Amino acid sequence: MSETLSATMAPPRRPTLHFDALYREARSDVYAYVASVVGDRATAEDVVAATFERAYRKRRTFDAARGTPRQWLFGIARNAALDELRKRSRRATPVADAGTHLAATAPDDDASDERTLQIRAAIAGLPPRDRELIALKFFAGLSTAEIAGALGITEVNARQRVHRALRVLREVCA
Amino acid sequence: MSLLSKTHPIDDDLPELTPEQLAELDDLDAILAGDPASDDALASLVRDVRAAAPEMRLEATERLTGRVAAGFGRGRASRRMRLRGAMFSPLGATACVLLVVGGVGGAFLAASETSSPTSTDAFTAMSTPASDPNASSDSAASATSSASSAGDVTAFERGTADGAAASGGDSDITLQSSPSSPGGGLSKTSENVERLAPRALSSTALKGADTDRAAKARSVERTVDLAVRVKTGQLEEATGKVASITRDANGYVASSDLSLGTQGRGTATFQLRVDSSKLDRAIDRLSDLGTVTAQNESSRDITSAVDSAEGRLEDATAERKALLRSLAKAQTAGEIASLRARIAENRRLRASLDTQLRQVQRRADLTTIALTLRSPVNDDPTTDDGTWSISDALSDAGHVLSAIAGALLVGGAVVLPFALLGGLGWLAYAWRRRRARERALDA
Repeated sequence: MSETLSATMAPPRRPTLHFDALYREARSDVYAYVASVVGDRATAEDVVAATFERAYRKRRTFDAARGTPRQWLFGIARNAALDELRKRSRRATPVADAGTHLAATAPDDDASDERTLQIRAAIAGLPPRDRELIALKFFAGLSTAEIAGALGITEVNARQRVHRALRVLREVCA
Repeated sequence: MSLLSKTHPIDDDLPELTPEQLAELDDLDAILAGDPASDDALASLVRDVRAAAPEMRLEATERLTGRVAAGFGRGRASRRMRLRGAMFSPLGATACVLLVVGGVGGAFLAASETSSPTSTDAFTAMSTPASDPNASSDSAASATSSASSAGDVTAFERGTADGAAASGGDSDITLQSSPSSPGGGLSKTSENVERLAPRALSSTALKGADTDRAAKARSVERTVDLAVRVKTGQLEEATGKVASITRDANGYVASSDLSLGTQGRGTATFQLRVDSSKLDRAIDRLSDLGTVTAQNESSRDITSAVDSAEGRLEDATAERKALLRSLAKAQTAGEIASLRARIAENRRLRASLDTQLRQVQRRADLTTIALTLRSPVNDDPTTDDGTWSISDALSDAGHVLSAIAGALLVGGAVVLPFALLGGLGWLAYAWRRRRARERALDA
């Protein structure tokens, strides 16, 4: 009786963030997304490292009620990537288009067949916002709700934008 | 969320999705989740795009994995992060608030602080050496003693007086007393507080004729600080009596200041100059005005200053006699004129020395009494015997709490506008940063 009561009365426990598991699970996806945004490989690696460091420092602030761990992590990654782009623009150095670099990374990868190169070139040709959405959807595998949370937009808006990016991608990859 | 949508009007132009388009998105989600799809072309696209995903280099992955395993240098958070943590942690915020409130409260309390009598349990008698500015050869007899009984005080007095007499120079004798002594403290009857300094000097009479002569010849400047608590509402009446007591003591009121508050509360301060020979009687009568809460008497032996002034005057007088004798013998007009000029100069010098002598003698003839009369608001002579009771403690606690509440109110009034400004500034900063990030993506 008392055990039942205590189980009933116990306050809901706040889900803890398993950082190591999240790192192992999302590391590659975060890199793929960040590389799509910033373009430069070395910079992308630095941004990914900064992303996980920020996430580690702020892991106790994670609130499951506000979204999934992946949504939270990709929000951090997005901010880190955009901060990097801002830094670049402030330094006024010539910024290579991220898509261009995305296409140029092919020789370093194992999967360098013609179709992959074609796809990369197609993604590289997308507008930055569409390219970001493709990365979040296809590389990171985020749901529409998670994308909305990561970008800070409404879910309806996220769905519209994802569909538009998908349509564009289909056209360029046809 | 709506903020970003508003900052990108292009999104508002997107058409509502049709059911077919929504179904296409559902297919996409299903394919990404690994479920069978009805749209083979979309499935193929997904597969190809995922295959084209950039991959992190192995060495970079290993490096990052190592850093994750090490907790990114646990405990070595950057200075900026630590500062942020300290600033925004609840503990840091509380410390900041306490600091502000403490500072404001301290200032508030300091401003509202009123002097209160000390509550030492015993007489403290001390002698502080000091030199008379009018006599460079002054020496000071020093003796320090703390006594709890009249006998001890007497012993100290004797020693001090002896020292002063033996030194032949100026010396300071300060005798302090405060209420709440075990014997009942200082009361208006002044049973425990006697005129210690006169006794100290008169006690030298016991030492014999030589000492007696020395004591009689000595000049002593005395000052008395006296604080008296009068009954509520009787401050003005007591103030009027002070003037008559001073006149009866052949003295005058050098300065006075009366500050009356509400509910019969107030404070009056006086600087009185009374004949030293009538000091004891004057002190007794002033003590009768209420309850003595503090009394401090100090005596300074200024015999050497008096002797010095007298000696210089005697020298000048002797010089005048010599000059007059020389004048009587002078024969030439030049000699006579010169001597007359010197006699005139000597006259001016003697007048100045005579004034100095009168001034220094007056310091001994008149005693300064710094009198403070206080009339507290909750004074109840029928129950307040000068001791600290539970009701006093509760009253003090109430005062402290009201002071703290006032300090918090003032602190809040000061902090609130800054907090609001800070919050608005933070919101503006966050909004601008968000806009800048979005612009960076579009660049």
